[in-house]
Amino acid sequence: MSTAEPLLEINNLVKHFKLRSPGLFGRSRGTVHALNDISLKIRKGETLAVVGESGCGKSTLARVITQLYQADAGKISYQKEHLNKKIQMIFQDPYASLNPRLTIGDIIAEPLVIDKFGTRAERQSKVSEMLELVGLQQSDAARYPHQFSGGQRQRIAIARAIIAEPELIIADEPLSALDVSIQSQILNLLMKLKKEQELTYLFISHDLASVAHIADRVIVMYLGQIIESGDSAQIFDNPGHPYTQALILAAPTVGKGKRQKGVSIQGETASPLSPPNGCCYHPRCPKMADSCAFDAPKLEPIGPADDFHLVACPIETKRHKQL
Amino acid sequence: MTQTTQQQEKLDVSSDTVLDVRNLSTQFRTQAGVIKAVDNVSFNVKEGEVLAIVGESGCGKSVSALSVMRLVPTPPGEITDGQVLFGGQDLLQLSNDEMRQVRGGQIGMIFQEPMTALNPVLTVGAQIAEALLIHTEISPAQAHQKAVEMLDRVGIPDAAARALDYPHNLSGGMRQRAVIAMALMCEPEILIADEATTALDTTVQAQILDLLIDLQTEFNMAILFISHNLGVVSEIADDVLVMYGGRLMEFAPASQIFNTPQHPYTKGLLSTLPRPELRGQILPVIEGSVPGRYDQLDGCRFAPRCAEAGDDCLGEIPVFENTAGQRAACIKLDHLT
Repeated sequence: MSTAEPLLEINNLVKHFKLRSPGLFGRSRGTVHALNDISLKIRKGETLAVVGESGCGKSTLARVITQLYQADAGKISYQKEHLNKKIQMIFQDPYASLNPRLTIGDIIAEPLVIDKFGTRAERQSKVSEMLELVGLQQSDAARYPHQFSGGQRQRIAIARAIIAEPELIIADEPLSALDVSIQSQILNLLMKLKKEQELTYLFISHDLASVAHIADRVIVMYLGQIIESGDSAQIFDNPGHPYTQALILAAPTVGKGKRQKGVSIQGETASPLSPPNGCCYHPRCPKMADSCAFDAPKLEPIGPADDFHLVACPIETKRHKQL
Repeated sequence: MTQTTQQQEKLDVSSDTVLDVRNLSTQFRTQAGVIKAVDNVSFNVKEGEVLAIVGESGCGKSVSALSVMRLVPTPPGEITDGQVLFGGQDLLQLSNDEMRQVRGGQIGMIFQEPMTALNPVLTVGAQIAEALLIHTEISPAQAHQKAVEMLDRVGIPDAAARALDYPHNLSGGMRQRAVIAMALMCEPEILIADEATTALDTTVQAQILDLLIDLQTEFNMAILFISHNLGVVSEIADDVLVMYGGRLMEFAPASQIFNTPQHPYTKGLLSTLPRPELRGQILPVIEGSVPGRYDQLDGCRFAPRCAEAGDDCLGEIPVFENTAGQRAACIKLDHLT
């Protein structure tokens, strides 16, 4: 997987938001450092997951890639021209992401209309094909969003995302608004479609269990920075960064029995308005050394340089080298 | 023998049971007809133990909690049947004034979104002290002092200063700690937590779960913990009640629910969870969707989605119990052992 050509390459991406008090002459209230020096590659045919807690910048990243936001600095290179038009999104809330006044058929056909694809009849036949593909009935095309459950609506959103044969699908928390018994249905559907339609996913989620299930590679973000990246198995079976380790330990899991005391990390994420100096995680880190408060760590290989498991923690990389 | 224990005997509640809910039914009258949000559900919470009610949207878990506290919006809601036995009395028979004394006094409550439980124009300390001023005879200065102590106890750093802050000055996790402090001020016998960690980040959620377990041990307090998240429930619960469509599906000690589930719904739900052995593979599913309402009046509510359902699932479904205290409402389980 790691040798396939990149579909999309991001280098040193920066996105800041300036906050102002309300009013024409409102005072500046500081700058949110949403993305700081983000570099990554998305390779064709893979599922790249971005995980992190609120305020880590994962949704901002999606919006910069789709050019809903303009980056302040850095470069996004698409492998093909006009690739930016071949990106589709699936959103968290299927109640908010479908226009209630349009029929399902019109909603799903919309990317084709924008692409000026085919005749109306051709578009309708493509819609029928998509409906079957996502597990709905052809006759559903004439119905309206309110007639469907949350899981069915997410299927409609997925049909809309794949109809124009996109190169990249960005799914921003596509499961978290769904009931537990529906989540595995949608996970299965995403995996089936990826195989059949040769799709590439950027899967954004805070839910580690579903990420471990679907992702080929994983990027862990904290306060606008990438603090670890690697193959899914490397991240989940052998996490390198103390934050990733804490996150995996904190994820509620069935079957471990009642919680053992004292395993959770202390403190909360600092405000992205005033991120800490040095390592952004150092105020909460149990392994912190004095230098962590001053030196901003760089992503470095924690194992052999060619296995692409990168960790932004000199303490842990040094410890691994000594093992 | 005190009057309380006499009443307890009269109501036949075992001595370590704090809350005993029997045959609770709550319904909502809507334009689309009557919705039985909670339908003949019984459960009990023991001293110093955590009972979790788990289920998907519309299963009746929150309405059960609201019914216990008599906070079901009426109309359109109405508790139509059952008993809620607490402290030797049936809460459903109390007057509104008597119930107000119980709420926030002997029963503490915390909710999903801490900001909605806090008054934005009062300082955190003042709101926490308020519970004591209402429920006990105490001077405002003493109440404030106790509020600061409680804020410190729930892990808020620099509690004396934070007590003078307004809710918007605190982070989400700190707000939820403040709400927990408020709920604990009168040393309740039971704490009702409705999706109390759902809005929090994973690492903060873990801290709040640790705090709840800590407080439960320290105060020997019972907790009724409502959640949709099976992982969270598995990490905090002693007993688990699984609900679907307003009805009890299964009730058992947590280890039995998660290791030897009996009801097809519980089994199905657990099987759909992603887990390391199945990475990258197709997961088992429960077909269909969670219905918005239940038009089918008789029979098992889960039958339309149940792989094991047959004709006899459309009749009355008794609740079977085995010797280990595991109860399940499935007609196929009359052999439950």
